[in-house]
Amino acid sequence: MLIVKRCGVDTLLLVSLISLLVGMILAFVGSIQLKMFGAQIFIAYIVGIAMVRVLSAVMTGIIMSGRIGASFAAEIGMMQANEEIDALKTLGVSPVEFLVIPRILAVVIMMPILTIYADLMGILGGFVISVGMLHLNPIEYLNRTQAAVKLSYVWVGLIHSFVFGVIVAVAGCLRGIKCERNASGVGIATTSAVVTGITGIVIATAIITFICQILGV
Amino acid sequence: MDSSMQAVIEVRDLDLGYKDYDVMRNLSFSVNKGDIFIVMGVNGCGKSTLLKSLIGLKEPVKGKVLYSGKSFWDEDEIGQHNIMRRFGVLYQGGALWSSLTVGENVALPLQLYTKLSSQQIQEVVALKLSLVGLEGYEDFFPSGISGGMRKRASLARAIALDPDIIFFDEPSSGLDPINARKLDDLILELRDGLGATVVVITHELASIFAVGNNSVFLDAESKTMIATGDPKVLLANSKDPRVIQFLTRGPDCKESKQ
Repeated sequence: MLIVKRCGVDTLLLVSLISLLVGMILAFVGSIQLKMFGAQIFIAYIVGIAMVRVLSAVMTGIIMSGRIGASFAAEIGMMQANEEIDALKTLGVSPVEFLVIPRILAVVIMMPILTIYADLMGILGGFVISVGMLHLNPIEYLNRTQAAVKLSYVWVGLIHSFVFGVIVAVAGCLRGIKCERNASGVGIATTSAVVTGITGIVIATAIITFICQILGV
Repeated sequence: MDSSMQAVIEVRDLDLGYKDYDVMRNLSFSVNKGDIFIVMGVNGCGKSTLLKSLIGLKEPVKGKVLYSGKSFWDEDEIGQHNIMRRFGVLYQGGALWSSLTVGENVALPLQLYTKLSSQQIQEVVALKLSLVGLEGYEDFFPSGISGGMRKRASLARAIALDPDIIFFDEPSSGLDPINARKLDDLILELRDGLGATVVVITHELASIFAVGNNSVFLDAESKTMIATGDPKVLLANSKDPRVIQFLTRGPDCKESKQ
């Protein structure tokens, strides 16, 4: 339960801030081009589709990799260095069952929830810029967002988030388990967990996007 | 065979190593029921590697470790698991699970391997903690207690399931002389009270002579064992200068000047 809280509630503030800002940046950048055609209202499409399909999941995955993946690697690495994992093994308890599976489950459960939350925050960010600075009609903006975001896009985003959750948790736990039994080993494991997590997220995004393209989703 | 001389652990022609590096070769010795068996030697001679092989954490390069006649490394996973159920291990740093309280640490083996109710488990935990002088510390986290207390808490966890073999890895390291002595007394009490066989990895001479009745001496240079037997007898009778130097803390500085 503590791990679920760490993955969820404790990460909420960071997810809120990053997603809000990404939504704002998308709206700003989009408006520069769309202004030339007098089509600023389509900012709602850009922000809505980009956030819901992929960006929320990617940003949440990166946040989780930096926060949770790193903490899993450091925590399990320290347990390795302190012989706590040896103590589990001599008790006949599998470290994978006791340490890894609960962590993977916690991240996999929380990632989709955080991603949906990030979707909303990103759309809010786009809304704030579009209405507050670009003076678009708020009702029109929300209607366009609703029209842009199809249910299939939400599912695509959730699939991303599920895959990223597995990548982040496995990278963190695996690096921790393989950690050398000293302080520098813990440092290396932590860094490696983040690098592996983020690299895995980018590669998985490319693969999922390619598959979605082929399937026409 | 006399039941008191029954071999609980037999090590036969054991070679230990890491990849291409040999740690120890040709180790053969027996630990009898009720022994307090000391594995001694200088730093880096391979004591902890031997312990890892004995407790199932590191497969030897060659040779056998037999528990009551069953070869540990030839058993399947279930067989190894059943043998491991007979051990309690006190690790050098305690190795308490840092995310659990002291009470939860001691309770976990009971929750996993007994059908006791939670009330009964709490009673056993309190009893085990009182045995090691830590009554009332159930709700403390390992980070909130001293090094000596962590070792005692770890011992309470090691004896939670009343094991018949208890391994101690450097039990006195990091302890002051009084607490080290208390731990030695506790080792004797466990042997006499629980009837356990005890294996102690140490290079603390005071502990070796206070508790040990049988031993093996590992030599880092020749990478093998060079003496076995009661440490007090080794001190009195051994002709090997390496054993004598170790057991007498090396040559006396004043004497060597003269």
